[in-house]
Amino acid sequence: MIKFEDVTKIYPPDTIGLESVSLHIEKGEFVFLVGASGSGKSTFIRLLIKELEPDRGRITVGGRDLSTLRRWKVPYLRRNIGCVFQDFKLLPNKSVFDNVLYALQVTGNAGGASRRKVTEILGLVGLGHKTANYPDELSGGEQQRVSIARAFVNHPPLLIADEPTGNLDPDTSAGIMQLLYRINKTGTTVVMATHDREMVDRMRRRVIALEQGQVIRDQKRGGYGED
Amino acid sequence: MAKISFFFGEAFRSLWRNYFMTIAAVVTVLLTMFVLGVVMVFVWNINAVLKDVEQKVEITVFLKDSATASDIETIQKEILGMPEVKDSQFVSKEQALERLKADLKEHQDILKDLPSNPLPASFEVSLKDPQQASLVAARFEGRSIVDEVRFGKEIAERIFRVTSVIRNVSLVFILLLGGVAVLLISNTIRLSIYARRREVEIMKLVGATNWFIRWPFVIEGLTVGLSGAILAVVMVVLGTNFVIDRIRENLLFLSVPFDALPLWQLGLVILGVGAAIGAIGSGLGLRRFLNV
Repeated sequence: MIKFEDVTKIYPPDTIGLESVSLHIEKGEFVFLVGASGSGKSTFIRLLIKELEPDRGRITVGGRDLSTLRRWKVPYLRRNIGCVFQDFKLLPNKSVFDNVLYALQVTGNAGGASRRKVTEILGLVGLGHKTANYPDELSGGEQQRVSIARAFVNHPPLLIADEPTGNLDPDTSAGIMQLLYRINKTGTTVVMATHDREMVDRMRRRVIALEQGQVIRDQKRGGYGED
Repeated sequence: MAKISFFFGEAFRSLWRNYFMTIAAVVTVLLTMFVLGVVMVFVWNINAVLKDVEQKVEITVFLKDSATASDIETIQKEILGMPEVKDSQFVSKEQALERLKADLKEHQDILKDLPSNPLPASFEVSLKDPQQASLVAARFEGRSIVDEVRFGKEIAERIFRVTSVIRNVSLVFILLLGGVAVLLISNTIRLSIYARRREVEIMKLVGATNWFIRWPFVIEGLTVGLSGAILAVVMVVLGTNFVIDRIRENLLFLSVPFDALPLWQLGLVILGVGAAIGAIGSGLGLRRFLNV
């Protein structure tokens, strides 16, 4: 699903984002990306959705080489990657329903089938009763569930979450993790950057640890720290 | 079709939700277009006055008394055949005297003692382009039946110098003002886009293409530009009519042909400029934020 081959990203003048990272993530995997702030987690994610270009190396997503992907095709790449962020990134002027619908509208689908899909997924994340609300009327956990619904409404093969529980309390976080776990069960590859130690230790999934832009550990069923 | 209605829906929803920005932008367009419109009305009027003055430059060809009727007919045909000539009128000796009498009014008796009519017959030649007066006049110089050619050479040339300066200055003024309008409006639009750059970023992350994001903004800009321009046109038309009425009441002698004011064309120009600046300004203003 995802292949990094000797990928290096340097922010001018000389801050290292990623350095010589090579790794392979299979279809259907659930991967934690752990490490302190500035270790390269966000760089990794921004490279994946081609928000950034690597200075060296090759990134392949779903069999497509991102370096040869033309700029105008980037939106089509992103439609196949659901994104969940720490700050939710919801459109403030749209209702919960319309926020999720937007992800379908950009693909040219806005008909009845799309609306049913939105209703269905919002029910799935437990927000069936708040579809008409606006983001600022929701709690953090609810907003994050909207953003997960939006990321998953297209049923993308890959879902990326950048610290999705970073702003949430432990109970709410657990709910969000449950949701991501269920999404993974449907076959969607999930890559989640986090520094929620407890969560990672409990889930026992593949853990890729980054430090100063380098992969220092890649463990099949790891914990947050060294075992 | 569904997409188009989606784009319009997005545009109008956002105009409504950001109503403060919408009003600010419409007022900006309104004011700049209004000033531009008023200046254009002024310039048009000045131009009409200038044209009026220029048209008064006529060539008068005075004939010798020896000219026969057939001479006159030949030269008449020749004059009317010249491509520069708009019209030509023959004034006989008798007609010239009648005119003089009419001009003198109550002092006519000074003409009573004249032994014969001393006034020459003449052709009054008006030109399509008065600037060519000296060229045309030169053709009559030195003919056997022509006594003198007059077209007020120096006055004509001075008039043309002054009018061309006035025309150029007003053209530069309109261009400058147009530039200011473009800058002001596009700046307002850029501000309103800047306030929403986060939205644009989110749209891009969800996988919207640039045009998918751009269309609603372009429609918004078009709407703002058009409504500002419509208000400006209404104000210019009402204002102009008001001022013209006042002028008519107080300055009856003014010869400016107000009725011919091309308010229609003027309105269309303002509408077009307003709409274009709005739409293009939005489309271009967005460019910076689309490179995510």
